[in-house]
Amino acid sequence: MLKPDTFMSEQQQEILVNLEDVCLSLNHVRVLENITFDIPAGQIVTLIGPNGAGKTTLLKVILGIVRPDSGRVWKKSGLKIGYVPQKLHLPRSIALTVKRFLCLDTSYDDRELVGVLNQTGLAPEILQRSIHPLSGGEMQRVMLARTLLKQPDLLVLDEPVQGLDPVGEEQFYALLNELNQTKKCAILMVSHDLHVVMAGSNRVLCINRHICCSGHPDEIESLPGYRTLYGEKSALAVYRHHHDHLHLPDGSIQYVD
Amino acid sequence: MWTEPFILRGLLAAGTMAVLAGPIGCLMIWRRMAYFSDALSHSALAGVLLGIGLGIGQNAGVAVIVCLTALLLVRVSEKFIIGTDLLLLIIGQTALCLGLIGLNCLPGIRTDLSAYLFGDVLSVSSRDLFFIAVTGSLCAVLLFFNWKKQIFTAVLPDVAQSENVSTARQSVIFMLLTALFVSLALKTTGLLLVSALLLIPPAAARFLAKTPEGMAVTGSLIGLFSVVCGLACSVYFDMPAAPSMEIVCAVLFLLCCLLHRRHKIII
Repeated sequence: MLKPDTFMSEQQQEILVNLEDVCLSLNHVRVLENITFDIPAGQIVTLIGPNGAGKTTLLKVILGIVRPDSGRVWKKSGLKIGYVPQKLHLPRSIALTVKRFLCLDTSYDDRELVGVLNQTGLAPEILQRSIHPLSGGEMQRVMLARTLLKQPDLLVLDEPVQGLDPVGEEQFYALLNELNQTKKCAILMVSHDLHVVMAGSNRVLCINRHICCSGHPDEIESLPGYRTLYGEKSALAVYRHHHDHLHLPDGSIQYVD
Repeated sequence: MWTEPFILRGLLAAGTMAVLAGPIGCLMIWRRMAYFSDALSHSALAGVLLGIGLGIGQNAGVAVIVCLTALLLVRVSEKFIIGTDLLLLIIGQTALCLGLIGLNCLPGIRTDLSAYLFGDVLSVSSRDLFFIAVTGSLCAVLLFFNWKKQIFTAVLPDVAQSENVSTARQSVIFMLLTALFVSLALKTTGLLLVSALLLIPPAAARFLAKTPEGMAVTGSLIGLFSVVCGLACSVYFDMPAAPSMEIVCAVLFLLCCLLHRRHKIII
């Protein structure tokens, strides 16, 4: 297996988050095993991997929502993280306007609010609307706007375009790229859109309980002699990279060369 | 008639209860824990026994037992495999039965069971009022300092945790709020009607309000109106107070529901 940091960019970059040997079991099932990696400032790091691979759990460990059994999660002191979860379960019983939603814990004045709405491509009129009838795309943008109000150094997104139509999807990724470029905001996200992942990420981590492989998208594609995690005949031509091991149905790992 | 001390005391007790029911009931609805106050109020009868047994007074006994039950429920509620609602039902009903049997076993205690079950707001004493003032102020202080965090954890628990708002701490505060409310409301509502008077006003307010704060305040106002009407029914027509209050709440709920449909306000 490749050492996780083999493909770190050459120039010395400030590290925002560092994980070392993070292990976690939930209900006696090993979910994360010896996860070690860094998130450098300003970079886009993408997690890929099959369902149940522990991607969301890994995000939650980094965010401090779930505590790991062992290992170390280090964050730069004063690091501001904005989190956009995979699926929101807003209670419909709460009367909530978009404005009040953006000011859930801290109040902001209208100028700031309109500012982030502009950034995320939303009209200011949305502020007075109820949050509940918003479409999936609008909701994702509102969530993103909420995190931007905190001026985060790191954005953590869990399958951010799930449920968006192709156009909305493209726009959302373009928006993320823009934020990364203009605000120098690092991004850690889980995504299944491999074409976008391969095109836009600085670094891809392929996860199935442990880090199967990691590296720059170009490099990861060309890694020789590896078996795919998703199966041989993946319809996604870009996703060609292979692994040096197989995940057997009983959860054990068989190494092949 | 309304200046009679016993009516004023009743009005104060019921009014405090109604005002607090607005915000606390809202939090309960948002957290989808409507069953929770039922389980707590049902354990109150055991608290009455404890209060008598220890000689610390019924109110204090109730507060102790209800708070203990609430804290116990914090530990178990989330991860329970058969579902929180079912667990609450089992705990509530069991506590009620234990209380009933206990009350029956203790000789020499003259009890008016229906006062415990349905409340007796016109028999509120000055000591009861003092107890209500203390627990009510505690609730108000907890609400004042945690309101935004409570909403944050109810709406986006994971995000709140990731932004260093301790959801565990907010859960405990929420449970304590409910427990304190239940123990101060018992005298007015009785243990069977606590949940109704706690939850129906904010539920009705949902149809009218646009913001969480609006919903809480509207809930309090609807509660206050119901309480005054219910008390009037009790004074003028000799109807049972708490059930009258509940009926007024229910009618207002229906009205809000219809009003909402007529204006086609999008929820």
